[in-house]
Amino acid sequence: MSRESEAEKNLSADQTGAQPEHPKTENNEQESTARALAALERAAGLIVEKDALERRGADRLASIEASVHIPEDLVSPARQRAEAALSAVAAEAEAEMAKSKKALTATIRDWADKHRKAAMFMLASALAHAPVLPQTRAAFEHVVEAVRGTTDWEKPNMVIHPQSNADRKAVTDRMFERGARTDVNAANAYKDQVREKMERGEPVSFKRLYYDMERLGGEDAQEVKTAEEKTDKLIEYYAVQMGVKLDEPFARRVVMERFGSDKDYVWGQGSLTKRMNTGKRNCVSFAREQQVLFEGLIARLPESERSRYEVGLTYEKQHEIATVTVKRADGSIEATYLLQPPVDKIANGTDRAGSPNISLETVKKAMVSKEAIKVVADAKGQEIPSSPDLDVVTDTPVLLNLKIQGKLRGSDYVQEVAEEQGIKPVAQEPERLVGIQELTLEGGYDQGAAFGAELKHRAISGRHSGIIHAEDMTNPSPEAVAALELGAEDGDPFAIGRVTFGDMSKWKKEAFQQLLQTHYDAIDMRLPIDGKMPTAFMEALEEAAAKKAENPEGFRSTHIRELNIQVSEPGYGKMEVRMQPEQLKQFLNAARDIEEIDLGYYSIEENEAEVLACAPQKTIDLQGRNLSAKTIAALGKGKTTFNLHWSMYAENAKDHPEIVKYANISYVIPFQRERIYYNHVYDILHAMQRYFSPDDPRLKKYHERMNNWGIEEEGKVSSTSQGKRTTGDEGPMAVGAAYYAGDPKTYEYKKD
Amino acid sequence: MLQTAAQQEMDQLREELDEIVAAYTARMRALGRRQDEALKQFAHDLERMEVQKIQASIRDKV
Repeated sequence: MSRESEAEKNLSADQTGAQPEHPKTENNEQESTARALAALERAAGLIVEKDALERRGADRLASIEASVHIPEDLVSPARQRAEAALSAVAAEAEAEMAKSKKALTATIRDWADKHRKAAMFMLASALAHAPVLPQTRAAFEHVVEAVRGTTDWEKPNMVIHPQSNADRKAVTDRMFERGARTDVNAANAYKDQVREKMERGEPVSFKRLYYDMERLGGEDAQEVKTAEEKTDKLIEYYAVQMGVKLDEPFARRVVMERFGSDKDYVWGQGSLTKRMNTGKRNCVSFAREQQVLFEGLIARLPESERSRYEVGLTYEKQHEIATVTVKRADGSIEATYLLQPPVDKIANGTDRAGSPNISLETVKKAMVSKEAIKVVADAKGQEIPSSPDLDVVTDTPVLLNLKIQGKLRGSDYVQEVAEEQGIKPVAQEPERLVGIQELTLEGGYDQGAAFGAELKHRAISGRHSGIIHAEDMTNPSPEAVAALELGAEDGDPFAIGRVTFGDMSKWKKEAFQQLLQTHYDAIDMRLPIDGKMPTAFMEALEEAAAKKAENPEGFRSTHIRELNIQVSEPGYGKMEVRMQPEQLKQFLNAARDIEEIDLGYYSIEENEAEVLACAPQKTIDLQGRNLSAKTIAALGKGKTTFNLHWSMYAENAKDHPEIVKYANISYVIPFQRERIYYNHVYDILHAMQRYFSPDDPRLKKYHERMNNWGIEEEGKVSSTSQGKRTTGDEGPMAVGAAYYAGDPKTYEYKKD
Repeated sequence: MLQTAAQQEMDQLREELDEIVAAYTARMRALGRRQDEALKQFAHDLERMEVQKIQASIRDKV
């Protein structure tokens, strides 16, 4: 009997309650189980040691202080120093515990995966002990989790909601309050100025840039000033202790001391100014502090040492961590430290699989760049496991303007914080097919950058939508427009097909410029009833196209392929809307990189048709009133394909059958078959029969199409409609079929 | 003594777990030493202050 089958037999005997064949072996197994369980108990007791260490520190501090009789004002500074040192030790102990717990869980899971039967045996044994000791119960939970396999943190379609509704509201209120002070124009001017400075090769301090941008992003100027003063003092404090070398123990100590307690973690607090003034942080504000701090410290090193160190920023899924990379004398990379407890070290490299590292120089460049800088998360040949989405609203006054592409690794840190706070991932609604769900963004987004984050949050929540309705974005900041682009962080920038905007007449050029950079396939926009196209949009289009012309081999000037223009007020009046020919010409030329333009409800007269015939677009869709013979002739001269909406084409075919002669004038077949009216089908058929011989391939193709629609040729009455008297309630197809069962040429049908 | 596969597997788990716990305990001990140093420094600071206080009091009396 093999060892495996022997164990199996004993296990099965244990489960069934039958007598094992080898009682002695069973006893040995029980001993092994007891030993393994004892090890698990010791493992589950990690927290005891950490707590004991902290308690011991606090008790001894109090006892030392009680042993002397010195006035409080004299003792206080010494006590503060001692407490800071003890806090740093406690933070490291906490980090060590988290690390060890993780290692233990991973070990148990690996073991349980490999040895399922032994794990089951152990589970049964642990269960037998469970009521006795709390420690055993903890051990039992470890085994249960291990045997169960995948945790909630590794299941796809999970989400964590760490903020209460009140928390979210508080963050949103703050964003609105700060947003009211945002000065987009001043921020853009400042960015231009810094960008030029950087282009000239002049050094730019990250600290200076970031605080200035927070102020321009609506943070209170006095608060920013105070925060910066505190930062300077902090740099000074640590620079004195650092000496001439930034070594690993020092970096570790700085991070541990600055990180503070878990109580300081506030999910929505992404402002550096607030971080410095209140001590509260989330990953964004802490990473920013560490970037500023280490930038300042490196600047205080002897000149010969400075080039050995580089500050960076690494990303995990919905999480970021400041880094410092240390180089050897020959310029090769010695190690990169993640500036967040427990200060993990990446030896001989800067990044990990699914977690790109971006240098501070690139971050600065992105912050002042007009276009976002793209960063690709390299999986390094590994499979990046799924991790829950973080559903959180964060107040971040400055957006770094980085676009991360590719799948990011889940954040252990986010998971740990959530677990500490007792937050578990829950199942998300299953993904819906693109095009089914629609997302409507309500509320004003006129006040600029501050709304970007909230908007992004809301947009990400609806990431799988096919259409976004953003009619309320009447004057958004470029940041808000950028934030609207969904899915890009998840490496799927094409998740959304279409966005519908409302009145865009108040949009600034910068917002339009940002819009042209998004990855949406189609944009719907509405013009005021006078049909006037916003000048800012035309300028943005023209500039993008001109820039593209300078580099014909580069990417297109915009990702948008289709622009659908309607008028803002529905009703009959829209049929009379006209864009002045001169403006139409200017617009079409500026939009030369957009392949398809849908001009909805415009009256096209001959002079507009002359302009359209020369349009650079591949396709122009037209809706609206019937065209005149001259207008049709003018359109027919063009190279552009004009797709008339089905009923418009059919009505024109009835009034001006010559329209069928023009190869570049076609029609859009309605998506819903119910909208294909018999009378329209026959109007087009008659026009074609008038101009094409029965053998003409165009006519043959049309017959095929009719067959596909289930419509029989005139005179061959459909079996479904033959002999039936229609009441008018059967719908247009039944009515049409009956009409055309008679003499189509003599019947005056009603327009639908 | 002949061990079953299950015994071996459980012993292997025990060893691995004990290794992690031992490493953790060692790190905690090191942190305990750092804590001691901080506390010693605090005690030393207070002692120095007390000596200064006594010296000042003697000076006052003299």
